[in-house]
Formats: sequence, C-alpha cells, structure tokens
Amino acid sequence: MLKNYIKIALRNLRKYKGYSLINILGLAVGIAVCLLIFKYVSHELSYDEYHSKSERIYRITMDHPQAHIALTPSMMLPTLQKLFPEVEAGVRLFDAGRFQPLVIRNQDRVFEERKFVYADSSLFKVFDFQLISGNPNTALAKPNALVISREMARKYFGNLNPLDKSLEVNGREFEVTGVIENMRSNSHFKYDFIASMITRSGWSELSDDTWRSANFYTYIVLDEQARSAGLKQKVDSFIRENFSGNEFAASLDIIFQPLTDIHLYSEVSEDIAPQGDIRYVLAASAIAFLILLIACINYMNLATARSARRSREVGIRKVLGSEKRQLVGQFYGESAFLTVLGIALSVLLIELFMPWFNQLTGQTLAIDYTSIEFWLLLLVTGLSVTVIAGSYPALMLSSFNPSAVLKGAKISSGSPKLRKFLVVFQFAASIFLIICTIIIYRQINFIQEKELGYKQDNVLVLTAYDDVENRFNTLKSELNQITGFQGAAMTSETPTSIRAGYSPDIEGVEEGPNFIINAIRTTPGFTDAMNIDVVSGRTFTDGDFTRANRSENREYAMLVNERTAAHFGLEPEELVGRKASIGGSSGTIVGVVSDFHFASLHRPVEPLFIFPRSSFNKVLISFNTSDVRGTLEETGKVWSRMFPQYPFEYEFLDQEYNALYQQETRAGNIFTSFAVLAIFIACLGLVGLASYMVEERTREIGVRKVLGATSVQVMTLFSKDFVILILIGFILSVPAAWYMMSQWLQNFAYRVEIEWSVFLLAGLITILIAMATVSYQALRAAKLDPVDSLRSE
Amino acid sequence: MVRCQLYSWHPTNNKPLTTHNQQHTIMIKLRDIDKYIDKRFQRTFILKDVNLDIEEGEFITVMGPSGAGKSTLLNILGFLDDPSEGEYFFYDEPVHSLSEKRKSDYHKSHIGFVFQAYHLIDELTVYENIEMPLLYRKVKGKQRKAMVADMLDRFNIVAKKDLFPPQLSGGQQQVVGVARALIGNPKLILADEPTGNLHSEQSEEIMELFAKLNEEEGVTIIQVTHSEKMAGYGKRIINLKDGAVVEENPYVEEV
Repeated sequence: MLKNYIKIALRNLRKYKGYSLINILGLAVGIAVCLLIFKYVSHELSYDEYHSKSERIYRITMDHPQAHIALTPSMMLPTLQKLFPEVEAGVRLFDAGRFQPLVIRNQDRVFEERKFVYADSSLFKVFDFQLISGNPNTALAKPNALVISREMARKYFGNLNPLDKSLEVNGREFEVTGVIENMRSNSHFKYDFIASMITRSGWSELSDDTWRSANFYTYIVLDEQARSAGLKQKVDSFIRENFSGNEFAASLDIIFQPLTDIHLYSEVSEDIAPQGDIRYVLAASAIAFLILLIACINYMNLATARSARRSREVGIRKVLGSEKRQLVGQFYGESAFLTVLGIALSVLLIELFMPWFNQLTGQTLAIDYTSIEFWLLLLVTGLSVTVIAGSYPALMLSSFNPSAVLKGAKISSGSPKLRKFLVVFQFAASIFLIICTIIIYRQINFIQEKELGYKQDNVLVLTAYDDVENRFNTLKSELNQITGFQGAAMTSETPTSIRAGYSPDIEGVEEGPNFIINAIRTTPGFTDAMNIDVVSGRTFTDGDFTRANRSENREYAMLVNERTAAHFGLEPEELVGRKASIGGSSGTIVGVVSDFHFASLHRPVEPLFIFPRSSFNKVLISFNTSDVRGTLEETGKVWSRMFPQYPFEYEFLDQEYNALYQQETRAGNIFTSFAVLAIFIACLGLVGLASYMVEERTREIGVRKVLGATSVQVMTLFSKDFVILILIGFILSVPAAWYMMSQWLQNFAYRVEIEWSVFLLAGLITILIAMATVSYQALRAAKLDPVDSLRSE
Repeated sequence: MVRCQLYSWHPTNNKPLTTHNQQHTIMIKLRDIDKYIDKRFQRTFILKDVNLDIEEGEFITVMGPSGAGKSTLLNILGFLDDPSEGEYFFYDEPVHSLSEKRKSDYHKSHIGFVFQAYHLIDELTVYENIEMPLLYRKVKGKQRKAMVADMLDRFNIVAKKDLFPPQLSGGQQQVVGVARALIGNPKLILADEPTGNLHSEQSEEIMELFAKLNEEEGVTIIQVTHSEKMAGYGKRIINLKDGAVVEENPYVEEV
C-alpha cells in the first residue's frame, strides 16, 4: 500500500514539476530562515551560561536618578566581602583600553590593543575561563602578571610558548603567567589580555580601594543558600547607616544584576561592552515564525487550489474501500515528503547563506551538524511544517463526497474565501515588514545625516600618547603646513560620546543634590577646529591653558553649552563671568557654546562643561579638503616623523559616530532581508495561484476572446482580483506597522516623523512586484489561441 | 410535488412482473427512501418514496430520462451517498446506521463499481489500477500478482499492463475499469452507464461479460443505462421518472 502511495506521490510531483518546485522552494526558504534565526536567538539567549556558577553570579550596578551605571567604586567589593559571608567570591575588572588603546610590544611585533583588562586574582574563582597553560590560583597573584588569549599568544609569540616570557605594555614590562582559550562569543565581555589588578596599586589616588569615583566592574558569587534580595536589603541598610550625610549616596540604589541577564536585559550606561536587547531577540523570533507561516500558507493554498485534480483519485479510492483516515494519512504523507525535500534544500541554503547571515548579525555562527539538538530541531520543524501546512489540504481532500466527485460535478477546491484570506495575510505581513524597513532606514539615514552641531567629516581621531601631548604645539605648527588644515585639538574624549560625569558647583545657582553634568577637557582651538559656535563670551586662549595647567594657583577658564543655561532658567550671557568649580578644579565661566550632540541621539542634549585641564586621550585633526587621500598621506608623514614610536592608527570621526548606531543599522539590515524574503515567498505563492487560476479558466478566457475581449482586458481581469487582495492586506498592515514603529522611534530623542509617503511607497512596491508576478501568467493566458482553449477534452 | 414511481417490467414481453422468485436471499431492501436538497426555502426532491427489494443473483437495469435520479439511486445502493430519509437494509443490516468503517469494509468485500467515465487513476499503470482493490483488502504480494495476472489474461490485456490510461482507447479503459471492479470477486456490481462511451462492438463485449458473470457466478448486477438494447441483457427493468406515473411503456416516448 505504501508503495502505491509513494508511486502516486512521485508521479504527481513529476507531472506538475512547476508547482512542486514552488512548494519545495517556498518551504525550503521558510525553514532555512527559521533555522538561521533560531540559531541566532539561541546564541543570544545563551550568553554567559557556560560558567558553572552562572546562576549565582551577579554584577553590581548603581542606579542613580540621572543614570543607571554599570560601574562601581573599587571599595565596593572588599566591603561586601568583609561584611557579608554569603558573598562567596568576587572579582573587579578595570577596563584599561576603554578610553585609549594600549601599545603592546614583543620585540618587533607592535600593535594597538583595546581588549585589555585588569582583574583581581580571584577571577578564576568566579568565571570559568579555561587556562591552557598556567595556574589559575597564582596566575594573577603578583604584580605585572599577564594572562593572554590563545589568539594573542599566536599574534605576539608565534608558535612559541609565551609562558614566563615578557610582553611590553605601554612601556611597562609584564610577565605572561597564563594563556586562556579565546573567550567565547557568547560572553558579555571579551578580553584578550588580563593583567593582575595588584599591578595598579599606588598608581594614582583613584586606583587604590576607595569610595570616590566609580571605575570598576564588580562581580560577586553568592553561596548556594543566599538570595540576592536578602543581600540587597543588608547592603541598603549598610549604606544608610554609613553614608547618611552624603546626598549622593542616599539617592543611590545598589542593584544586583544576575549574570545571565546582562546581555539582553541590562539597560545601563557605561556597560563593559555593547550588549544586545531582548526586544530584538523577540522581534527576530516573531519574524522567523511569520516567514515560516507564510511559507506554510503557500503550501496550503497551492495544495487546496489544485485539489480538484486529486478529487477523482479520492473518489475512486473511497469507492474501492479506502477509509477516510487512510486518505488523510496519504495526504499528510505527501506533505511530509515535500517537507523533507524542503528541509534538505533548506540545509543547503543555510550553508550557502551562513556567511551573509553572520555579516548581518555581526556574529560568527555555525551549525553543528553533529549535535543532537540540531537534528531534533530539524525533526520538530519538519513535523510542525507538515502539520501546519498539510492539515488543511489533507482534511479537505479526504472529505470529498465520492458520489459528487465521480459524477463529474465541479469540485470546489476548498474554500476560495479561505485562500483569499491567506493571500491577504501573506501580503499584510510582507507590507508590514517593508514599512518597518523603510522607517528604520529613514531613521538611520536621519541619524547619519543629522547636523550634530560640530564638524563630523574630515576629522581624524588619534591617540594622545604622552609624547604627543608634550609636543602638541609643534605638531600643530607642522600640520599647519599641509593645505586644507583647519585646526587641531586634544581632548579627553571624542565629541561623539562624552561620558565623563562630574558634580559641578556654579555661583549663584542651585544645582540640586543629584545634578551630574558631562564634561570634556580640551586644548584651546577645539571650538575652532570643530566648527562649534560661541554664542556668548569667548572661547579658550593659550593663556587659559597655561593658567589651567601650571604647577601652582591653577585657574580654569570654562565653557558651558546653551543647555546648561536653559537648565537653570538663565540666558547664556547671564552665566558668563560666573565662578564655577568642577572635579576639584575651580575657575570662571568665560563663554557659552551652542548645543551640540555629544551622546547618541537616543537622548536629548544635556548640559555640558568644557575646561582645559590636561591630560588628554585623543587628538583631533580637522581638515577642509577634497583630496582626502593626499592630506591623509601628508599627515601620516608628519606623525611618523615626529613620533616614530607610535603607530599612525587613526579613525575618522564620522566612522566612530556611526558605530554608536551599530544596533540600529543591524536591525535595519535584518529587516530589509526579511522583508525581501517574505515578499519573495509570498510572490512564489502568487505565481502558483495565478498560474493555477489561468489553467482553471482557460476555457473562460477562450470564450471571452471569441466574444471580443482584448489581451489587455483579459490581463486586467486577472490582475484585478489580486490587486484587491493586496489592497486589503495593505489596509490591515498599516495600523500594525504604524504602532510598532512609533514605539520603536520613542527610543530616540531625535527622530523622523512617520509620513504617509512611507506607507504609500511600501504599498506601491508590493503591488508592483505582485503585479509583475501575476501579469506574466495573465499575459500567457491572454495570448492563448481561443481555438485551443475551447477544444473539448 | 414530485413523486417517483417504480415499476418493474419484464424486459422482453413488456408485461409487469408481479411476483419475485422467493428462493433467493433478499440482498437489498429500500424502504421509503427520499433524497432531497434543501436550498434556502426550497426543497428539491431527487428521489421520493422509493421502495425496492433486490435479490441475490438478479440482473437489474435502472432506466429513465436524464435527471430522474438514476445515478443517485445507484450511489445510495453502493453506500456512496446517504438517503435524506428512509431505510436501507443490506442483507438485513441497516446501512443508514452503519459507521464509515463498516461501509468501506463492504466496499472492499462486496461491492464493485463500474463507471461511465471509467475513473481510472491516470498516474497509475493498467496493472497498478487493477491491483488497487487488492491493496485495500490487504492481499499479500504473491497472491496479488497472481490475481492481477489472471485478470489481465482473462480480458486479454496482458500486453497493455504497463501502459497508462491516457494511452488507451475508451473501450480499453472501460475493460480495465471492469477488471478492477471484478478482481475482488464482489457479490454486487453497480454499473453506471458502463457502455455510454463505447461503440456497439465494445458495448456488446462488456454486456456479454456481465451476463456471463450473472449467470455462471451468480453475481448480482445493477446497471443504469439509456440504451434499450443494453437493457435487454438484464432480467428486470426498473423505471424512474419524476413527475406523473406512466402507464405505457416509457420507451415508446424515448425514441
């Protein structure tokens, strides 16, 4: 019996190659997309779970009314460990490469590195980093000890064993005490160099254990019985008792962040590395499911539309004694068979598109074909698709009334209403995706094009090494020789993202206890180099700089932005001349600059201080030239001549800026891809349906042509039906897309408006594509010779 | 008001039959069978108040003009359709309350269908078409092969066993259809215009075959046909006509 079913299935498949191909291709694409996204989602969800203690590890963060930051004072961990025995272990991380890369050297191998962290020796008690060589108990115990990753070992030492050898970091000699396996991709932080925290003791007033300043990432391991809530209560009361005078501390909320929540759920600033967002993961999952659904709907539609062809077979089988469930089984079997073919093709597609997908998501994922999970997933997907796609056709086909069928009556091939509904749904989903894509792209474009209030293009960003700082004026005069040179300045941070926060004090103004302001330290010439307008007062002079950095009696000239004035309800000129102090430095406000965006456009412009205190991390070199390459070359020459010991490694300011929006850009790319896929699958379905309709109505077309219809009229006749369906889908998708996108745009303080033109554009695109698909079939139909159409079979 | 009347006529001397041969078992009993379709506020009757007894071994022809409900009657007899009202006893078993499974059991064991349009499965070869009923009866491979071979031989179509129906002529297809109907050794054959698409020589062949089966093997045959000549092969004629009851031989009008 089975052989009979197989024979029929295969012969039907071969007989209607076109339809079969459409079905298999549609299923394959849908399944491939689903599996790829599943891989991505499961990777995102798995972050940090590989540590054996992951369920008991927490990161400590501080929630303050103005910001929730991931950093803590260095005193936090020792205090907790001393007071609360339920803290089994803990470690602090100090990210050294955050503001400025480090120059690392082994003989003639010199590179700039950013993934450098200082960690307490208890690191390996908290995290499961596998040491390939070295002892986890002693690797970070002594000063100047360095653990490097396998990749770095190869980079700096080739095939030699780096253990016990030395590596120079910013001129200081470290001893390699261990090599770890490269940190896994599903870790919320990834470092290549781990140095012992004890190295830093005595380096500065802020490096030893103190409650002042917050520059460390603190992780703790709670013992089995402890609950973080209980510990939190204790910590809260500790703070209340010991910091009762301090307003700042009083408004702090200490949060214990579960390790495994960090990657997707943390909404903190100053995170150790850019993290993901659970919302994107959810959105991706929803889209995956949507696309799979569209593919299944295709199958359903095609199978039922063509069911009339199988109806005779169904009737005969019933006459011959087949029970209904045998028929149901037969047709489920056929859909299972097609699904298997679809799965086989999808695996091929996955391998083909994996590199592109990795680029899209910024990951390097790969399918492990030996894992049981993969095959299980495949099985589950196959079963689900078979059931979802195959149920309707199977049940419909098997319920044909044999007498009606065999009498030769016209069989209703399922409910055309249902088919229309399904087509509407497919297109509603596709149009939804297209609308979202367009809006996301507009927002990204808006971000990239937005006037930030300072010069973005043709500005180089380099590292302000010590020697560079010392000889900066010479550098400036040398650069002045280059045509197109506009100006240069050194800064503590680049203006794209100023994060340093201070608690200022301004004469005659009540700041409020929680007022934290961002500030950037620059040399004079900053405002000129960056085209920042001075609205009131004046900008820095060389004299200001000297006064700010002399050994005694320092006086600071300060600049504030317009927003600062507005914050206190003052006019800009009212602030000029007032005394102010910030970060322990006091002086006078000499000028007010126009607002510029110094943080991502997610947030509105906030108050900003600028003051000329050294030291600096960045060199900004600003040009006005059309010959970018030439100017770059010249600059490189000057640099290499003046500072041969430092590599000429630079970034363009707008590159840095765009990197802030990596997540959004990625989202945009992902949405585009999915929109394209969804439309592709939906159109596949259309091709099938349209060609089927044409076949069905061949006779009708013949009659119409005989009665005088032109080809165009016939084409219009066919296309009309589909246009209406698409329009309905359009109407349905608009409110959903509008709602979703408004929600998403709320994330940005500066955003595009959702305009009508977007919706019209999306609808137009869809209709054009769909029409192109359908009209080919319709044209074929219209061109048929009526004689052939009307010949009776 | 539509009423269907059944009259039994002897095929050759046009005299009504008043008695049935009491020796044979009654295979089929129809009592007050109605078949109607309800549309909105209208009820259209296809069969009304049909009462019928059929014995084992009869060869019956059902005749009547188009739309009289002949095919419907045949479908009801063959469990392919359910009457709207009334009772149907098959070997004293009430068909109207049989489960789907029981009905298909009967299809497998007792009933063979022959259709005007042959209704072969185009995607299967002649051999595979004939084999199908045996698959549903779960006959084992070797035996199946033997039975099919026997059938092919009997109907002289061995050479065509690997051809597909579209490659055969009408008559050949009908032969295959009959072979398929017969292979399970059914007790009852229902034939809906079996010679409708055949020319006279082919028709005769088929009807001879039926007659032989009926006489030599006691297979009960109920056929529907328009042709008086074909009707002649049977032993009893049942007339279906909607509208008024007719007294005269309805075939005078048909010509």
